[in-house]
Amino acid sequence: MMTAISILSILLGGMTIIALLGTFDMFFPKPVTRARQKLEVAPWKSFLVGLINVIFWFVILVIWFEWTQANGGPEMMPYLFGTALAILLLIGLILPGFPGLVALAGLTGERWNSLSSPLGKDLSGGLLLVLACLTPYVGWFIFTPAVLCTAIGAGLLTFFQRAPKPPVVEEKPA
Amino acid sequence: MTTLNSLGTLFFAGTTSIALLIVLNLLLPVKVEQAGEKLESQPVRCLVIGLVALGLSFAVLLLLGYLINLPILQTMAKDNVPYLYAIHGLARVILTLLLILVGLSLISISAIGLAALANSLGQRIGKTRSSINPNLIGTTLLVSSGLAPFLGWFIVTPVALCIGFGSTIQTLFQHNANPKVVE
Repeated sequence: MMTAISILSILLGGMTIIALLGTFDMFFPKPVTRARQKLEVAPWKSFLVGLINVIFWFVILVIWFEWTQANGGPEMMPYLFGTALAILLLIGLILPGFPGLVALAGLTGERWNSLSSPLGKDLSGGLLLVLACLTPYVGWFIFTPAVLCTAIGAGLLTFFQRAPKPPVVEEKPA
Repeated sequence: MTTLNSLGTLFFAGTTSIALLIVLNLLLPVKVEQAGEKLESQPVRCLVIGLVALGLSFAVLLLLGYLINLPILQTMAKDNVPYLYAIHGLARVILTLLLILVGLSLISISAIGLAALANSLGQRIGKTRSSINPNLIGTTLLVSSGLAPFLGWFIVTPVALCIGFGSTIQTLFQHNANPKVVE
């Protein structure tokens, strides 16, 4: 009974995430489009950038945890600063990561069925991604981290890369 | 109730595996296509290479597992030399990380090969029935046949894994042919 309830709750959770992916694209189409361009042009670069950022975040989190443990526990002032830093970093990962995730879902949906509507692409791509992430072992430990890293990387590249300068047109002397 | 739970788990694992193979096909089209070409042109070679490579990889995994739990080193470290104990702990962590890395690489390479196998299966069926998405039908067939009792578990799944692994290994380590010089 417990297994059936667990599977049902996981499936329901997956459905809500799919709905969230579809809704996000409706509200914020610009960052999603830019992240999708990055994913199409440089998927491996996005993955590497995301991986480096996630590792950096984990290293900082571990250092902060060890340091607060060694310095007397949660009553210390550094604990507050450390927590604030960790939360800020987490927000810094989630904020760009979400458009990246929506873009990845849209890209998957586009390649799955290019004739459907944008919402249909997001939903079908989101469904495929969520199901793939739920695959036992392979999905949990390989695919989900890879997808999250790629999404975060694409989002970060979108946010922190400057737009190319327009070409300068020299006027010819008359 | 246990049977129902097992069936539910099996259904869940099957459905999610189908989705994973489809997504791999969609997100890594070049790699999957290259592995599929190898599969189509040299299936027996892929099987043999996959068999040998998987066997070697499992040997490496077993060796790493043995080294992690080496009894002589543990006894030496505990009884005689204290600094050996620290070195043993560090070596154990490194070996465990290596073990996880090798295992994850094996699974990833096999998954790409399985996606290529499903894709080529779907392409063959898609030639006769164009209304069905070839990706979906190929993946569903492959996963379902792998889940068939006994025959699927002990023959289809290992053979599919070996062929997939072999084709991906060939794709990863292939040398690019020198481009012909056009005069």
